[in-house]
Amino acid sequence: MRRAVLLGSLLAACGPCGFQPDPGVKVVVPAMPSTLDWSTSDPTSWVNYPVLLATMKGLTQLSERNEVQPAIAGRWERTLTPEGHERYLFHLRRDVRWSDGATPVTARDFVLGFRRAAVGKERTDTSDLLGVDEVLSLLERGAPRAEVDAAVERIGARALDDWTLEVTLSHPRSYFLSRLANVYLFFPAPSAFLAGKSEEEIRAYYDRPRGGHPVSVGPFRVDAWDRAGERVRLARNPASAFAPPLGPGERPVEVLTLMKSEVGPALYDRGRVGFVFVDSPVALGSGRFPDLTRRELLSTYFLAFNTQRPPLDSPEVRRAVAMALDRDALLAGLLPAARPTGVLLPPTMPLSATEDEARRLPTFDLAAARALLERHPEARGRTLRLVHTARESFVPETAIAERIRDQLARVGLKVEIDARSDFSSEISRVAPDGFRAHDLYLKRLGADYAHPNTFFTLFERTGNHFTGWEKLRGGEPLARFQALRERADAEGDLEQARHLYVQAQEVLLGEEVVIAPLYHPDRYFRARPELAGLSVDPFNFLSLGQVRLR
Amino acid sequence: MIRLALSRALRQLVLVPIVALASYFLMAALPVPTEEEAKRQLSPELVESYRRDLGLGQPLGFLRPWEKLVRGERLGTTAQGVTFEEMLVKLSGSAGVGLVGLVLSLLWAAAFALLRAGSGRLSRAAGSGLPALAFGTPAFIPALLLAPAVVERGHLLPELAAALVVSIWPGVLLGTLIAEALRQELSRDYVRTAAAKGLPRSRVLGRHVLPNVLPALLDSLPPVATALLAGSFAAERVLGLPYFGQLYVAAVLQKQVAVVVVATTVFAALLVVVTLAVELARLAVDPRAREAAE
Repeated sequence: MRRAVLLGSLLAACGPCGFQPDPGVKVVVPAMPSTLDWSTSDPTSWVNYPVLLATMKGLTQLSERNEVQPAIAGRWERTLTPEGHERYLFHLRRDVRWSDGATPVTARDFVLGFRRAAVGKERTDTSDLLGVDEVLSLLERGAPRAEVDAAVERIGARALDDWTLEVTLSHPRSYFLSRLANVYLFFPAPSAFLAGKSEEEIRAYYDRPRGGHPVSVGPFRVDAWDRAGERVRLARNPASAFAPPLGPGERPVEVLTLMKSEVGPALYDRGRVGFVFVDSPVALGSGRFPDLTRRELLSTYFLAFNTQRPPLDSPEVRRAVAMALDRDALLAGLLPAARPTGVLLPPTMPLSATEDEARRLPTFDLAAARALLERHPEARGRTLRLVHTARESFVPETAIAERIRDQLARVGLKVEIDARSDFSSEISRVAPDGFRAHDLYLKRLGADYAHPNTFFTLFERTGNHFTGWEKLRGGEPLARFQALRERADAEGDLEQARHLYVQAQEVLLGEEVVIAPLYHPDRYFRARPELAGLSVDPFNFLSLGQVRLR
Repeated sequence: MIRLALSRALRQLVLVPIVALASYFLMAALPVPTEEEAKRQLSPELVESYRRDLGLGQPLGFLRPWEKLVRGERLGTTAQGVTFEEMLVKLSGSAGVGLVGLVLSLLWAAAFALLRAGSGRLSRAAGSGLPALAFGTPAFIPALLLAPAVVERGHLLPELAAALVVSIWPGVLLGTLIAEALRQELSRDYVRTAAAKGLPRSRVLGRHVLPNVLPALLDSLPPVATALLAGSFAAERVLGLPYFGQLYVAAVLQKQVAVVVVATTVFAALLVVVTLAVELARLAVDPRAREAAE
């Protein structure tokens, strides 16, 4: 008995020993951040978004309907300079402070952030700013540091005073305000805290959180980051001007931990985490989660054609394929809900096509598809190779690929499916016959910001579309597409811009049939009912900025 | 006697710098960002930081990790590295799991040896079936089975689960060795003589047989300790334990050369300590070892 008491005492004393679970709300995320330095970012930036969107804020933000609204900038004016540049004058709110509670966010913070972004790992994303092209070319040819620094000083971001920021773009860009809301390269950098630090010290400042640093602007700040343990702990930022308003009976979340786990769904079932993504088609199809929530993404899943290799070098054959696909049947029963489509721009995207305009694009019409293929008997002679990504995803790729194969068999087309773990390199591979090795591939395109431009950049001449459409008719259709898009980007009148984007979409989908959009994917997750505001944003990022406890 | 144990441990100790050098050159052989990539992706400061971390282009560059250690600098690149103290804290977590795993392995071994010693059909079936099951099941599978019940529970539950998971394979291995050694010893003449003289079976086992079996057990302890520590890496990941295993794997993937070199060396040194402890135990329990020492 005495031994049992002694053993029990030892075990009880060891209660607080070892690794203890973090306090507060816990959410399971698919990946940990690669950096917290939002100004320089990282090529795998998607992993950083949940943390950075919870801790930082830009000049603008998006409404529920994805429209641009003021954030740190209370208002702004847009002008065109005589040289054809677009100039924004942002007037900053004076009540926005860094998380130390004392230091105001000033125009100088934005200037520093923009300048650091112009030489960061994703610097090409800032190329709309006047002067960044020069910085990029200097970096490309390995110019001396002093020369690069001098060019960076000249980029189109100036603090006229503490509260007025002047931003000049080399050309008018109607999507710029949308990008400011989402793309974290445009968030402010805490100039007062970074002053006098070397580049390595700045990296350590961001990536080794301690003592309340790095400071933040959003509702949270990063309190700790255990890389080995794959955990990021966020603490509430009481000084934030962007804390979510509390409803009756609600209170703020003081500590929030993002963690990776191999058994996330099981931990959610046992009540030990408050949020988990649900991606498995089996789990989604089981219908056993009453708390399953669906979030519509600004995203499109499409079938792309190799427009160079016969028989898909014929626009009629591509059109026939696009019209042979019954999108409703492709997705029936695979997901709790689905949004089949024939358009590239999701209807929830600002400036997207109206229903009438969408109807002008190829839609399901089996008889018309068969009639088109009658004129191209060679199309039925060769087996088409359909490539898709071989990895677990919230898009049921294998099932969709199999259904496409079956649906195309109805019009006499033979398809073989190739699921690849090296998908990106496979669709860029050139076969010995000189054509790209695929005939068709499946891909999901997600918006980076709430503007049509984000969907069109993939299909530009330098985009990684691997469809070969840049060579169609000597490149004329693509040139027309780019001209329409550029005119739309520069257009100040939104309705006129929308009209031009719709025309560009018609060139891509209606006239040349480079891709056949299939559906707009959604993301599913489970969140505890006591956690209000915990969601996924339209860009497929975990959204923590509005979270509070009921 | 202790001098002999120390001399043997010192011989093992020679392996430690060899391990350190080997780990350095292996890590240095991993592809690092080229100049072309550096222009596109990495700032010159970061590339320089990698080169400093590697000791590339410096005479005696392989001493760079130790230079960092002596100076108290962060091992690895500034932002992503760890201090030696942080590494030791994480290692103590993994070593604790391994130590508990070792105790559990011995318990498994004893239980399995007793099971094999039985003469029933069940014992025979278990004696041949259990090793196949234990050796054919990677540690992460039982870890995944236990994970939902213990992850985020604290109070040492994940640690105990990790120890339990990593102890199965070594436990059955040790049990197999002990059972075989027991079988051989029990068939010797002195056992029959002792039994014929009327000594109780427990006394024959405890006083005469087990001391002869223990050396075989001790011989297998160092590789078992290695297996326990290495096995804990997979268990730590599945059970969400932020200890040495996770740090080590992350450091290799991120090419944190200084972290890998120092961690590997500390790991090797730990195994030398285990070997020393085993040598001392052998000298304490095995008269033949003492005679050889004298």
